[in-house]
Amino acid sequence: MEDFKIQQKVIKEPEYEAVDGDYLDSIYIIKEVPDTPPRIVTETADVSYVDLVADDPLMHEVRVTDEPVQAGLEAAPNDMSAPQGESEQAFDFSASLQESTNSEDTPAVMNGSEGEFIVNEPLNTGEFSNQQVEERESTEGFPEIIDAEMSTIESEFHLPPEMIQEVRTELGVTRVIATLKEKWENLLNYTGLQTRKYSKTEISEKYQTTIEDIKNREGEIRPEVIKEAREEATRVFEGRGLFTLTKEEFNTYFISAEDFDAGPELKQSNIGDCYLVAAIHALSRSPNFETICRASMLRQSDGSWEIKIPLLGEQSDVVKITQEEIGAQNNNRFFKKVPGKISLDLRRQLRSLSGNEGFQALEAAYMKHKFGSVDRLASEGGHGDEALTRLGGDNFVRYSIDSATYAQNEKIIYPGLQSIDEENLAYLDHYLENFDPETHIATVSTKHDAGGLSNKYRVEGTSTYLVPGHAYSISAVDSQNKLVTVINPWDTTKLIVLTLDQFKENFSRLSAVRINNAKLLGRMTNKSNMV
Amino acid sequence: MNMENMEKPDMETGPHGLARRYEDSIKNAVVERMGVLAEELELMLEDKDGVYFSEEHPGTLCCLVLGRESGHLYLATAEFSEPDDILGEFKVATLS
Repeated sequence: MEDFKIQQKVIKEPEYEAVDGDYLDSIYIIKEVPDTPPRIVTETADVSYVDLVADDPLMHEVRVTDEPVQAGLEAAPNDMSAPQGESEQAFDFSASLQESTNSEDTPAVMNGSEGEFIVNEPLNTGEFSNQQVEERESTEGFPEIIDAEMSTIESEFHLPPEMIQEVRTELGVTRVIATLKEKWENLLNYTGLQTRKYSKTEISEKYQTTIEDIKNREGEIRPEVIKEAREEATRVFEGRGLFTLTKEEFNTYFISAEDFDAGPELKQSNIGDCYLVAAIHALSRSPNFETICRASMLRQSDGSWEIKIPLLGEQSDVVKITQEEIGAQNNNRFFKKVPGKISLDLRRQLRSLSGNEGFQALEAAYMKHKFGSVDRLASEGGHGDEALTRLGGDNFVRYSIDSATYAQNEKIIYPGLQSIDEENLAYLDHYLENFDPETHIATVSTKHDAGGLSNKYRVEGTSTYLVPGHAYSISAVDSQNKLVTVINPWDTTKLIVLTLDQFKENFSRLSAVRINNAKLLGRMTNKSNMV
Repeated sequence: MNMENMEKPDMETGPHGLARRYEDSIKNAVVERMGVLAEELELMLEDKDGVYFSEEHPGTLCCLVLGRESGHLYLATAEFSEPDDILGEFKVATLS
């Protein structure tokens, strides 16, 4: 801090004449006027001085660091309009330049077209503290962070990459980002050269300010405003007068206290309806889930449920589910041979999924709608998109990509999603890059033939195990780091994170839907469809 | 549409009136950001809660916009300048 005081003295006392032994720590701007000695006209700690230098061909920068300043360096008033040529002692510009170019220790400096005039004093580079080095290193990923933030922002718009680039160019965003990166790089150089220490708080504040600047420039709406809007949207649906389940009932039968960061806690029971539990879990992650349930389900005072299937559908069937149908059933195949297998069915009872009652009612309603009764044996085996489509009907826009194909011996093989054709692969990549669990509802299924006779197999290069021929719900996609998080319906509290390549390698089918708000809202004005 | 059970918002004043005056600008903001056609967009002006001033961010008008073809529900926001009674700084996000 001693250095800094001297620097302040120079600024405050224009007549101060530096002498050998003075330590300055700053950057000076030299005004060069023909036939007069160069004059110091400003000192700045702001990286924007680069622009100042660039705008005036007669302005040059001089970096003076923690080396003794040369005798004769005169401090001029911090006023560019001050009369020139009044100093008795001139700064020997050419001599300093010579010194500088002879130094092998001189680090890279901020320069531009005027770089030939820059005077670099040799640095005691070995004297930077560990803290300084750490501070600098902690900010070196900034350009990448900008790119990541940009990608996150742009992924909201679901545009193809070429359109994103077009929009960037049109808005001048590309140039703005380049400028921001350049200035940040300059700041890094500056902090690296200065003996003044930028605290982590200062660096963090600068970073946050820049990020906010980018977001404001990009027109991003604050998360709390979006959350508020979703609540308002629910009120719009409510205002149209067709909710049959109250908010309190929804909270009682669907949400537990620990929900909804990772979604509700569900566990597939002892029946093979993984595709259905995964689909219900994926559906429950949607911000529309409350709307869908409250507008499609009714709980009677006797504990029975009336559920419209498809949920919110125009021509929906009303499925009635009693408490008995939600409860455990005796397995009439107990101790008998399992079809297609050599083993016996050892399940004495067949149970509904483990979770709140609303979810159990949904599971039962799907089975009853498809099979005519809550037939848990019949519901074993299926696909997530089939479940989602039956539950959601044409209120949902459906997506499905399947890599399964027939081999020459007419057996079905499951080569994995990485094997699909380029068009579908491009579609899949675009879908995943723009995946938003609040908008998209998706399940995936593993390859049926993976793992041989074992009931699980390890994902190559990891300690993660997957179950062959099993459905999972997609919880999140980190498009920047190319990571996909999936959840096993056996226990929805556990997250499985895979790289995009591992994901494509190990899963053979993607089943997804997205809600169609236009149909949803259109139907919510038609009372004749009400439960 | 059957709107008889809905509370009719004041269409000339308040947020609804403001949104109606700026309907084209709001739609244009969605068109520019989301690459959709203006013809398919519908501001939810008939719904009491379809247009409102944000409590989270005072001075911000929020408008729910429905994409009739795509089925997307968008949020369009704009900063309200009270003395001049004008809207500016339009922003758009996809709600679902």
